[in-house]
Amino acid sequence: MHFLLLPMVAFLFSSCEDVIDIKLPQGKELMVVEAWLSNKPEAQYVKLYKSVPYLSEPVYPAVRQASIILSDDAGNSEALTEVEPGKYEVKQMSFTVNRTYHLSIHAAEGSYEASTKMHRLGLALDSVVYKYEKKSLTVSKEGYYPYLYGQELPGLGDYFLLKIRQNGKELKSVSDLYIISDQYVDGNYVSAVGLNMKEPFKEGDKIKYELYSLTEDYYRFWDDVKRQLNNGGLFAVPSTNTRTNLVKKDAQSMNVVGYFGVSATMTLENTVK
Amino acid sequence: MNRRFTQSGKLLLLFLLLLPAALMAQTVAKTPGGKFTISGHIKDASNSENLIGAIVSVKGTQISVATNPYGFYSLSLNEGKYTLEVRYMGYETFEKTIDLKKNESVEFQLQPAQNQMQEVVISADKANKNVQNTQMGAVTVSVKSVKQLPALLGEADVIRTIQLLPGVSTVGEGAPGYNVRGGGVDQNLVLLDEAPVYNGSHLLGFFSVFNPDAVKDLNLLKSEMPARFGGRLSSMLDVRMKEGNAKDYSVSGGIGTVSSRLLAEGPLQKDKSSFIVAGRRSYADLFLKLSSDSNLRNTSVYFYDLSAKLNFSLSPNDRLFVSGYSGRDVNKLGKVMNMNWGNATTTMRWNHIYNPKLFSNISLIYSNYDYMLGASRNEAESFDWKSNIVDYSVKGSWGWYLNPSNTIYYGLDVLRHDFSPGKARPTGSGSAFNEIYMPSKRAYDYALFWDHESRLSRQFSFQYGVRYSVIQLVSDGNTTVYDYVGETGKRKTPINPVNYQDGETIQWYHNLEPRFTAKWQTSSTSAVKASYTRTVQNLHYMSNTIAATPLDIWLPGSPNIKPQLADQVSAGYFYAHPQNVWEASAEIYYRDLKNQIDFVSGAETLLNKDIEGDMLFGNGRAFGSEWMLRKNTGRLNGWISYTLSRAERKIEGINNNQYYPAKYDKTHMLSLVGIYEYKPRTVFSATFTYSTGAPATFPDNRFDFDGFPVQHNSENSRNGYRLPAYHRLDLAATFKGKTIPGRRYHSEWVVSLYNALGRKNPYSIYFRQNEDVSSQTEAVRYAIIGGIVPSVTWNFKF
Repeated sequence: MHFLLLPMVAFLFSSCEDVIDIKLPQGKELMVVEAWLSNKPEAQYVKLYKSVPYLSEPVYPAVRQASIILSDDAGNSEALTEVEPGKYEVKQMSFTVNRTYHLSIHAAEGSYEASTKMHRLGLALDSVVYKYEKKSLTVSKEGYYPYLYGQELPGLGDYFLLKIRQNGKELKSVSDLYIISDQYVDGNYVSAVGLNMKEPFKEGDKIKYELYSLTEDYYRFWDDVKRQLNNGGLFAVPSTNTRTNLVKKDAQSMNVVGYFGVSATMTLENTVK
Repeated sequence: MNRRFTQSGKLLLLFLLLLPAALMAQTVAKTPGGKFTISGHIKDASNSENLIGAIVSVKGTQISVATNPYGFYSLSLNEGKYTLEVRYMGYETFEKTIDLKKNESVEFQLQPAQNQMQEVVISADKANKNVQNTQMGAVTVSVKSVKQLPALLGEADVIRTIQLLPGVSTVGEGAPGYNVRGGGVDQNLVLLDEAPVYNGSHLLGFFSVFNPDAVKDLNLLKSEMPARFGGRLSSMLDVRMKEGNAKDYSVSGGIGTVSSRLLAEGPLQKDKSSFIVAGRRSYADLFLKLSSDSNLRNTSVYFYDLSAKLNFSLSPNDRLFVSGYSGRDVNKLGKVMNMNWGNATTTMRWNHIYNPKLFSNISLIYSNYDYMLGASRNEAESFDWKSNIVDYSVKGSWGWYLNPSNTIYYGLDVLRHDFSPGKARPTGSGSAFNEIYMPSKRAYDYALFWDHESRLSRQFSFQYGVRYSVIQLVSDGNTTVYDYVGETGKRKTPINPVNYQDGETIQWYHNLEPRFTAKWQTSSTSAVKASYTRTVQNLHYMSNTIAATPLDIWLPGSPNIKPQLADQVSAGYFYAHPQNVWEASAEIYYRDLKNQIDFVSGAETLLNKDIEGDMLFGNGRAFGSEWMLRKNTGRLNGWISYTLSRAERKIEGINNNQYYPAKYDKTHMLSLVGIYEYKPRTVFSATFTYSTGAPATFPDNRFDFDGFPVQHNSENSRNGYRLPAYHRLDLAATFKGKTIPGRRYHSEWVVSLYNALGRKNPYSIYFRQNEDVSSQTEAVRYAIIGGIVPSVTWNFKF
């Protein structure tokens, strides 16, 4: 709730922010595992690459010729195929709610593994309506803002991530990435929950909402990502690394970051009017 | 098991209550061997305010005593003729010859100095002789003169003045509170007329809650506290409100850039009883009422505070004080959001003089801090959220003035804490939210204390004390206590629930806090002092942000949250020029802190029933040296303070379990404060502060996850880097109006420039996505104050 306090300070003081040049230390290179799989009917990939110094161009060296085994607790198993440098495709494995999945990686940089469960999607999004809002104290830009409706399923511990595509283009600003916990809304019909978009929509925009289920730990991973990019102001918290569920199999392996997540999904598409 | 504890609790309480009575019975006995006692009060002749820390000394001897916080002194001497000299900064020295044949009660009334320069802003105790007192680390701030220092937007602020003293740091501009010798903001006890104040800030931290008009003086005791003070680890700030003019009615006030102040005081019955009422309100929001935008019209951001005090002389030996304070910050954003928070305190004190050597004070105290947050942007998202802390306490303290070389203080404190850490409920019928309720907490705090100040010879004196502090955690309603298990450094899960019935004791914690200070007077102008102090803190502050927020809650410990402990050793050299023109001191200290608290990454400190699962525990250490050079008199006065220090924490799960700098660790801190009387009616002042940049954690690696840039520190370190150094120059000028003889009206203008060099001192540096290219990241410097802040204030008095 701290964000609520900030406008008040800004209100009275000429607090100021400016972009500066800063020299950051050179850290140790890290193995990155980007393994977010889902039951979405499209190709699923695991990406392996190495990190780069912060504030440098994000051109990542691919980790090639790794052996990646994806398996589940129902006895299915698959060796992933490298389709592009550092990009490994899942070709057969299917994803089912409540199943536990296991990822095992062997590369020149080291050996890693991770396990996760596919959590149910505990929110049935049924509609999104748009309201035209004028500029005001709480609305910084005039335009159409979405309001979500849907039933949250009883049973505490559901977590979601909402991605939005506007006219086919995925919104990549962290302020348009929503992560939701059912902590305060468990089992309720969620009606007219407004999203504070960075840029409001325009009439006729085609908007696609993609809802992903998360485990609690994966939700906290995303919370870490969001917090890092929003950590300004009077009430900043100490900057911390994002968590990971990948573990090194031996001490010689390069340190690893990233996450292995498996989500159940749903989508809802409509036009702004 | 629990019954046994309850019984021992009752016994302890009985013991606490009976002890003072037993001691009293002893002291009433007649003074032996032809010794007699002179005692009484020392007051300001113009308004009958009691003077705290005024000195009564016997001419031609080394004997002197100081008045206590109620202006009372007691001096026992052999039969004979003496000349007593009574001194107090900013007042004419008064002499009186006395032929002592029996116990005498003498009230001194000191005249405020006419031709002398105004009081100095700070002094090492009112004795103004850091060399004479055994106590270390004590500073008194004169509120009258604080008003002449440059202030942010012209709001004279005692807390900001405290930040200019050696050993006191802050996490950043505008952050609430202050940090003393490596302690958190929560480790400072702030007492307003003895009532604890849980949030000392208005406007998130920019101003302190104390209206400078209503405050008589403030005494800051750094970690070397006598045993009669306790409850927090690092310091004690004792704020005393004025008692009110018992001779005449007067009205004073001021109109500033941010707020206006008004104060009225006067006698209820001349020289016997008086009242004072003071208020302050900020008014930036009043201009919004003129706006054509209805949202803006309905927006308010303001604070107010109101203080009142009554005092009655019931008899020559009995005095009653009733004081109250109420302050609140109100923030309303149209109909969308409403938030307010504030403190309210009430204190009733009864001073009783049993005999010329035994002074007592019994206080009944109530303190409340609460906040409310309501949102109603639309029905689905509407809720209101409340939290509060209520303290009820009884304090009894006795001052036993055995002889000029020995004084004993003893007494007891009993406090009851009722904490409601948070209750949020949906308001609209269509709200998507469920009700959330954090179980309330109750605890009783007991303390017994004994202090003895003794002078063995002209050279050697010492003071020792012990405080026995106990906290009893009691079930409020039906309380469930858990153990927390999980990987260190990560959120833990509750197991093994244990239920307690209403009123049942959950846990006792007992601690003995020894305190000791010794002084060796190396010459008439210099002294060496050394001390050992243990302090204990039973209340814990749940905050993981850089600056504390008004929403942060306090918890009274639990079976998992143990009392925090601090042990300190310190030593110092003190010098005072014979005419007290100059004073200098150098002190070194080392502190060891135990059971310190931090939080896991992504911790939820609000509305979290399992907050204990998000807590991390560890130790801390702090060490440093503090230097001060002060000029007390003359047209130019002020001080230079320099601190070289380190404050570190070692918490399991942070920084690879190694020591790391605390967020308020500043290697170098330098303050220069100067007040120059250019003409009798024109005073200029300037302050300059420099400090090492605050510690920060920066990423050294980047990766992407699903197209979002992620930061990573490959050493997994905390606070390994520094922000650029902080420095700031502030200037002020006071122009006093002509005083026309026979007229009581005075007025003055205070013009100030805060941050006169217009520095953009970074409060933090963080990294965010580029506005247009979201895959690009950039470093952002966040400065709370980005330019020069000018202000004008007009003060008046009738």
